Amino acid sequence: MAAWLFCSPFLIFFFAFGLWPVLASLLMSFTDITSRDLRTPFGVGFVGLENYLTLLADDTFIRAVLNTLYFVAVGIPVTMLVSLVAAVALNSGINRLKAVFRVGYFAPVVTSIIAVAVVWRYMYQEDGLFNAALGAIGIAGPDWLNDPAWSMPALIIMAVWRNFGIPMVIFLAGLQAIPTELHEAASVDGASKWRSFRSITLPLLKPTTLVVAVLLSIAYLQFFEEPFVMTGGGPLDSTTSIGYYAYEQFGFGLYGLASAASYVLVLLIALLSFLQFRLFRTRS
Amino acid sequence: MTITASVRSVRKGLRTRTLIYILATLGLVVTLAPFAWMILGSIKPTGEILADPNAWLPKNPTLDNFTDLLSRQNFGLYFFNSVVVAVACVIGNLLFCAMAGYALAKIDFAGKRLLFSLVLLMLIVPGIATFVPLFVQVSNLGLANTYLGLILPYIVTPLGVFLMRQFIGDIPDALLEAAKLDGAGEIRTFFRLILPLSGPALATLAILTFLAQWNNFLWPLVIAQTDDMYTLPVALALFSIGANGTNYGLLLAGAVVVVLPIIVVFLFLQRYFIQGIANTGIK
Amino acid sequence: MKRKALLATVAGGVLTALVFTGCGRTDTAAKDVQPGAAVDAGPATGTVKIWAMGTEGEKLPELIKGFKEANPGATVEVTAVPWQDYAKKIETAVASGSTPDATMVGSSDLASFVAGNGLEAVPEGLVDKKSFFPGAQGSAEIDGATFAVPWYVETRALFYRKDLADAARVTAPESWDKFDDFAKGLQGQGAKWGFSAATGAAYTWQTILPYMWQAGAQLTDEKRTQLTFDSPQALEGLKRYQSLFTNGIASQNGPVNLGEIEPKFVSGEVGSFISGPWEIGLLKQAGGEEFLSKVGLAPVPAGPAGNTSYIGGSHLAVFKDAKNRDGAWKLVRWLSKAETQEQWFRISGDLPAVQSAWDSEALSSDPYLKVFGKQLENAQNAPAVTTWTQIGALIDAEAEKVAKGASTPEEAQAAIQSSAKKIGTGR
Repeated sequence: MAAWLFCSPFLIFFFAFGLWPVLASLLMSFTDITSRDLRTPFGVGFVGLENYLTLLADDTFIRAVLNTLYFVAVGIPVTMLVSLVAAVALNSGINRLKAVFRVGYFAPVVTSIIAVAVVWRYMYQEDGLFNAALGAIGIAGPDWLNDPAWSMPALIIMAVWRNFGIPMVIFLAGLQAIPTELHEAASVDGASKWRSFRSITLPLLKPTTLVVAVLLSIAYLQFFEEPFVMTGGGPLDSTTSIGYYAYEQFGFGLYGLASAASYVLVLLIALLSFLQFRLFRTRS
Repeated sequence: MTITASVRSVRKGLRTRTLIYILATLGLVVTLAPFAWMILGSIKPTGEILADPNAWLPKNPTLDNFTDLLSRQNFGLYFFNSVVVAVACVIGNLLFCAMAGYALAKIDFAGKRLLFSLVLLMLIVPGIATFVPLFVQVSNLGLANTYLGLILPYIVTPLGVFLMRQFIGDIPDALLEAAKLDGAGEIRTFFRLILPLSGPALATLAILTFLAQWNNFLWPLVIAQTDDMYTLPVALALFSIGANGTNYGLLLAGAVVVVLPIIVVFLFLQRYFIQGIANTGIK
Repeated sequence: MKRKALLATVAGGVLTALVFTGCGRTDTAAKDVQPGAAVDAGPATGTVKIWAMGTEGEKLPELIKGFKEANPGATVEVTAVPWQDYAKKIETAVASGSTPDATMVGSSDLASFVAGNGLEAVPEGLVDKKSFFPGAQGSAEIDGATFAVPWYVETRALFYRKDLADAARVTAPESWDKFDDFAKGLQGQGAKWGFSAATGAAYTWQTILPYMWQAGAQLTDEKRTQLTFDSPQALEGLKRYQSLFTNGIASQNGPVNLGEIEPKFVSGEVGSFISGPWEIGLLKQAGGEEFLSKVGLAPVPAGPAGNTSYIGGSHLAVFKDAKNRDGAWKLVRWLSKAETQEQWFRISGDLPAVQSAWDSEALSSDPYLKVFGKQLENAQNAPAVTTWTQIGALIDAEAEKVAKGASTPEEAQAAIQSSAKKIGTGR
């Protein structure tokens, strides 16, 4: 009884504004609903899996799926590596000004993307700051946002910059939870720093790594904001993601198709999270 | 260990430490460069931004972009709306998600597992998937163009419940038993014991919620039908993005105005936030 | 337990509703739309709520003062709406039935709103349809009914660096075949690119369509029931577009974002480009007042069938759900008077859609506006079909492939036609 009392305010809102719309849009994905049917939602035709088949037959959508997987496959490891390195540096080498570094590294997380998009677009121009920096060390940089081969790497770099703050904090917490005695014992035994990092720190960080991986998968599979503000899905659809594709269909008023595309995304996220849990479970 | 050896190892330690500091500082410079460009850009006239985007320092520094922004009609109102929406969502999330999280973590009841699975499911549904039905729902309730319409869809979040459940689950049962023995009921236990102990998780949730709402664009855009209900991001788009041109000076000034409150909130809560993430993240 | 049951009932209810109603969509094609009752000539009363985007939204209240003087019983509430994603805002408002009385709409978006079934057809006799530029009036007519009243217009003309052209001894080209020499001439004077065109950014179709029209293409059949991108003329237009890149006069990576082209034009990296009247203000901003002396403006070069340009701008429309329908139409009528249009030009710089407003001193004395005024006489709008948003995006994507050499004009044409057929015209 008490439990329901505690849950009731949450439940009311959760159902009205969370579950019900999710269910409704699942139903919508099996109909031919468009923007003109919204006032008469029950007048739409039931089309079964037709929307999903339309998606599979659409080259742009297939491209969007591949792009999303590319972003996830490269973006997640890179983000994890950068955040782990930052966390280790903050944990082991830095005592003074720790808060300054922490806030500084975290700052990109809290900014509005619309604002930083302007800055990044300029940095990525052919004669922009990025290539000026590369030129200084003798590398001729590409035309980042106009070259289909480099547009996705450019967005991945930006996404890593924006997102590494949160996993860094989680890793930091994980590192602080490791008893220092372990490392002391290892160094008495003559183990090098690197060795003890590899055989003590990393295994103990496994649960933390899983949390980070799952969180990043949920966030990165929904990859939408970067292409939205930076490239409009281009050049030549090289940065169109599933989320962006769904948003475009929504813009055309094709609500059935947009819902179907988002449910493909839901399935992917569920699948990937499940796989990660399995993977980490079996190994530990 | 001889003296020289230990001196050597201390030296080596110092060297490594210095190297780490240098690298960390470099990383910091790179991380903050876009912000520096943004702030410096906001005190340049738009023409100057366009003429040489690679320049850092303003040739003719001016506060015109800011005065222009603040002199726009209703700017204070937009700011106020943003604060109202963000704060209301923070309060709602803290209270309701903590309550539900407590029930899910510490009380046994039928349907608990199902409910938690639903919460987890909702965690992975992208916002765009529910946008249309959500809009229809809110307008049918007659909440279009009201504060409630802006707030209610986000007053609880699955992430909030998830965080609170994980955190409260770590509070030792012995403490709860003790409270029960003292004759405290569930409600009193919750307010007197659980909430005060959940500081870090609440701070985390407060920051995440504030952040999401403060930067929310698409929902306020469609649900606010007159400009007295606009929030900052919507107003920013209104002023700086035209049909055929973008007023970059104004956009950057607006960006600075939008980012600053968040940085301030984060500065104040960062210690709890990091503790909160730490304690909820490791399960 | 209880919750599960509730959920099942709700889901079941929705499903049965879906199953039983089946394909029961009532056909609301615009072809049988009847305009509403005529609007009397008396003064407006009550509150009129109107949405306007961007700058127009900010400046409209100033113009409205005159309306209030003429209609003391009426008040007007203007809401400024951001251009970004404004279409979603209008669609969702229509969907929920909570609309204002009237709104401004971008001329190329009108058709998709008509599809949403939220706009009322313009009452007979409200305005004189012949008073507007034909291209503007044309884009207000969808499926044989008129859904909006043109408010202001814009068209595109050729901006070029006069100083470079003078140094190269070339003059503004009047036709396609002279254009390449002109552009090469500018390149001989230090411009990296003689010309610049959009290559895939949103609204690239506004660049592509004029080439097709200039080659003589008709993009729909008489009744606008079918899109006809499969004509030899449309192909010729695409080939012309492709030649800009293969002849080396334009970059394959055209501007993607607003504000990208102006600095390149000011620095002399780009010698010419095609744009609208707003460009003058942007060039002033990017290059300073004195830079304008180096800017030449000419009508767009003609293809085999003439020098048709693109006409854009915004219309005024009234919602079916308007609470003050008559007041809204009276406001629209007032906004389309020649003298109101002229005053609006002074306030906002928007070019009048009413042709007679161009005779006024303010408009006829400006050398730049002369060029745009001339060009407006030969300017077309996108095919007024309800699915245009989608088809436009499709052309953007295919044009990008042509520009970047990923497909030939023939392949692009086939792709556009087959997808356009699939998408249909909404009829």
